[in-house]
Amino acid sequence: MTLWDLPSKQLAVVTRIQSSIVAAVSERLSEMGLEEGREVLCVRKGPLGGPIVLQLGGSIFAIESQLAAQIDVAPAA
Amino acid sequence: MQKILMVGKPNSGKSLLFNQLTGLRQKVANYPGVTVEVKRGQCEKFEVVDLPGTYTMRGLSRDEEIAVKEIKHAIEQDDTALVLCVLDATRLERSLVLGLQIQKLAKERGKSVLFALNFIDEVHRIGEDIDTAALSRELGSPVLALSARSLEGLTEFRQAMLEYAAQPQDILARKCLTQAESAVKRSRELANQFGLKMDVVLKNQNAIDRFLLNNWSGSVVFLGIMFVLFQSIFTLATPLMDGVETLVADIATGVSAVAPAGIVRDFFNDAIFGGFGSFLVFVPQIMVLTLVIGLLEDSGYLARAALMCHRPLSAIGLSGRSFIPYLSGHACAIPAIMAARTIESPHKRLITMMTIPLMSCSARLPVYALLVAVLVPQDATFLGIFDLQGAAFFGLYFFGIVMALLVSQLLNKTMPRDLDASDMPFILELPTYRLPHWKPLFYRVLNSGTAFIRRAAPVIFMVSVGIWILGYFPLNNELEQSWLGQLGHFIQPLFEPMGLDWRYGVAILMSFLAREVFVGALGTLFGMQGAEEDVAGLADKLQADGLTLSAGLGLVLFYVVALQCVATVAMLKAETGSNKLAWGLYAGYGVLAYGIACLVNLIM
Repeated sequence: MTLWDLPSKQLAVVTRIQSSIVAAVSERLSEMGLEEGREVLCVRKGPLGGPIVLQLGGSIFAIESQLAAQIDVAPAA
Repeated sequence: MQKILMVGKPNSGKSLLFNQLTGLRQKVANYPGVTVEVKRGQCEKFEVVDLPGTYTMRGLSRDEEIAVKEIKHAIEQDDTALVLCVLDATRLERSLVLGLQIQKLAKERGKSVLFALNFIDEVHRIGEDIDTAALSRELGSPVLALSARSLEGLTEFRQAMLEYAAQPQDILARKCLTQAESAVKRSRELANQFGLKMDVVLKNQNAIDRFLLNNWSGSVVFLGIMFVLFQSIFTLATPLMDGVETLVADIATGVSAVAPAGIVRDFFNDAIFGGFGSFLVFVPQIMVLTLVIGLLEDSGYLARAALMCHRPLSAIGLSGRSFIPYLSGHACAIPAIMAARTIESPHKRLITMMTIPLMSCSARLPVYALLVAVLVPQDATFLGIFDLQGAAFFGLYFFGIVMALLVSQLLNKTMPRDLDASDMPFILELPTYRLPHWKPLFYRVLNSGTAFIRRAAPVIFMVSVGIWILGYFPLNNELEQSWLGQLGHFIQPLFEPMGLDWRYGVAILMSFLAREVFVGALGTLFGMQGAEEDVAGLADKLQADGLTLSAGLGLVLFYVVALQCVATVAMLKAETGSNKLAWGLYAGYGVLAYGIACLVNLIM
């Protein structure tokens, strides 16, 4: 599944950052801590269908749907 | 003077620490607001430079690019004694990415770095601590814990900082990232070793966010806050505005008493106090709006508001980040256009900047106040509860916003854009909710007022004097025979479709330099002195003179749409780098406003 499909309050592990993401953006994601092997928690699905809210390495981020759909995750137990 | 540079990520409490270190005297280069700025202040014999915040040394949006360039440039300077890097103790991993990048850069330039571990009070509050001695050893540069808010450790920090700044070679980083090491990986290791258990820290925040970002409760809170915000612009600012008016009127009376009668007294009364009085009146409103936006930003809500707006605004080609510039555009378009720098995508940023002038800025208020007083009966109510004049004001603000959304949609569809791929996606960090501290807010509010005066005063001055000269000469004539009157009759045909005569025409023409001169100019043309202080009196005159409802409505809508502000055009030119675009917008909105006014006058 992709990050965008992650249900609220669900923990997951990032499995792949798709190569369709431009280099500048994937660098930024990595600086935020969004890398393969990292755990992310979905705080809530986007308000009004907007960006998804994530907890990641001690910070909270919002990421818009297009980008979140290009990141693969596996739900953690 | 030797300099101490302050760097850190946004929301690391940098501004407050800066204020605590430097005290009263500080200079802000750049327009204040939600934007990029460089602040300078003094601490003992050092100049402290607060550089704009950024998350990393690789900038994505325009504001980050500027910040990164500014930081790199400042570190290279010979008179830089020390680089002070502010870390957020509650978000160590995220702070250290920039911290490590800065440390490496500084070391390459032979500069020393001192880390300030801010918000240590919040760490202690949850019964935790951070081993700064061990963290210093790992980083190879000194780390000092403090809280700029609770003042914990601040005195010790200040003393140590000054000592280090005097002898920076003593603390030259003993290690830093090698070429092969990544700042991201290293900061994660350090955060795992020294940082807090984040689940504890974020539990409450996430609970609040689930409520505030909920489709229903979140929307209600959002609308409620916006309502209070706009209400406060009127209720809080009105007494202050009245105070300014009285003050200007008193000074004018004082000067008239000593100035000899004739041309000199007329000049002071009409050109200087008439023109300037009408302009100083906006200053309280800009300051109040800056205060409210500052409160929202420092508390952490503004980021949530941007997030709530992202989806609705994306539908018309804007970003959630467009929300903040739009909001500040209701005080003044100039800081709002600057604030658009935070928008990640160049295409969306451009559209946002181009539509900001449609937000009803405070310079339009006196025009609205006058025309609403003419068109809407005073004590009437709407649906029995709302004051009809108040509702009319709301309608005008709303009309401006709707126009902005329509124009954005149109621009989004028609404007050529660089490859979609180069458009940056929306990524936003939601900062910790914190109680705002008065100090940074106080300086921000003060700066918003002075910066507005500095920027707009020269234009207003020239326009006021210009109108006065045109209306005063040739000497000893009725206004209608003056140069201004002759000009008015010449352009009258242009204003006939709007249902207006030459006097309105002249006032409109004058207000193309700065819209706030409209009321004063119209007052002069209707033979009234000091119309700015007596809007009700002028409104009665206009009513008696027979301004029709359709022409009046057309006129007020004209003022919603027209971009009558030379200062805004200059700002647009500076930010877009295109003279053609800036003046094109000026003309375009003028024509659009004229079209709307004629249409309303003809069909009603």
